[in-house]
Amino acid sequence: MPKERLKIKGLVRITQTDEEGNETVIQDWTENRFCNGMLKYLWTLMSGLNLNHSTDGVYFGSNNVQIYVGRDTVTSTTFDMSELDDPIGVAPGIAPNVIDGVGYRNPATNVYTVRYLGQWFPGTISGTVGEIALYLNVFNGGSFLWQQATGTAPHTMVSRLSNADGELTPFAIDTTKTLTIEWIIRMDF
Amino acid sequence: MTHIEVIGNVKITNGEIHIIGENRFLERLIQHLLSYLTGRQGRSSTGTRYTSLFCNTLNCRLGEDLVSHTQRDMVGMVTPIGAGLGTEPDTISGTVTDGSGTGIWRVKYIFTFNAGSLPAVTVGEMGLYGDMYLNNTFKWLRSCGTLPGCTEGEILASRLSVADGDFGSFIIDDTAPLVIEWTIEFSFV
Repeated sequence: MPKERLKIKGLVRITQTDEEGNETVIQDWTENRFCNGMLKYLWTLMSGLNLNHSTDGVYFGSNNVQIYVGRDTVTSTTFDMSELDDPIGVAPGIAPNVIDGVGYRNPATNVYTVRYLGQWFPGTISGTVGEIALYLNVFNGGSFLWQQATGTAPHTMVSRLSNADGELTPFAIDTTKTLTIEWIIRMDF
Repeated sequence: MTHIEVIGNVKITNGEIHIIGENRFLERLIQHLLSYLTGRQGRSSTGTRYTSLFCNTLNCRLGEDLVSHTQRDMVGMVTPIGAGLGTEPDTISGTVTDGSGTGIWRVKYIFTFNAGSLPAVTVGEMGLYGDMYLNNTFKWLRSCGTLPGCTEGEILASRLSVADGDFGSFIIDDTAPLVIEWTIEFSFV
């Protein structure tokens, strides 16, 4: 029978790959820290009435899913953070050249996940990384039976992995290689 | 903050009866939350339409079953009280708690059955229903041309049962209102 509660966790993996396909694991699967943005997004899904849209549409969380990296190594993650402390590039950061994802469910093994992937081509980003973040469009809804008209919700950091929290070893990006960050959000009973 | 926990607390008041319990979530609720972590957009093919969120078909139904454990893929009450899915509440309302300052986000649904709306029978199960979209494809797009909008109808999200030991059975006092407060809470662990 199902357990009473749902648990949600996020896992991050960082690799660099040369042009011959040789992969170097910078950071193997490590748990992220969630911020208010993720809780607010899930909460709005359960309190809302509808998204009242025209042909222009209303955008959901993954419309502009992004992964950004930053330099900060001393600022611990707090639940009310909404952006990287010191992004590489103009805030919110340098977007990956490739952003992709896949939803996966297997009730037999009790695995329900979404896996996001961000990829920067060689030479498109440089610096020493001390923090990375997952961003989604988070609905503005703030009341029971809220509705949203056509438009895009604010782009907000929903989870973070940082050296300051002891979960990410700072690393210098090898600009001759592709940088890949995989981010899994997993739900379990 | 490495995990998010989702809890469903239920409070039942009926005359002299006061019961509290914790629900069991079903697989479709996980799919629903996951679908909005993979989804891209709701839009209409023509004119203004809506894409439903959970509260579009928010409901609560009661049943008499005392022996059937909750299964992940359940779709309704085993022995509904009333015809069809079961008797609907006379009124449905709700409140939300914004967790911006605390990291605890709640939505409380309040279902009221007026005195006499339900027969004086034994309650052994109750279910929370809502409108849930179940597409886990990355960047799925929901194009809706149907007036007034797209709904998936009532889908069972969680259940509270005597069989699982979630609460003790009681006989409805049909001279008093029966009020069910169902609170879904998102918080950090």
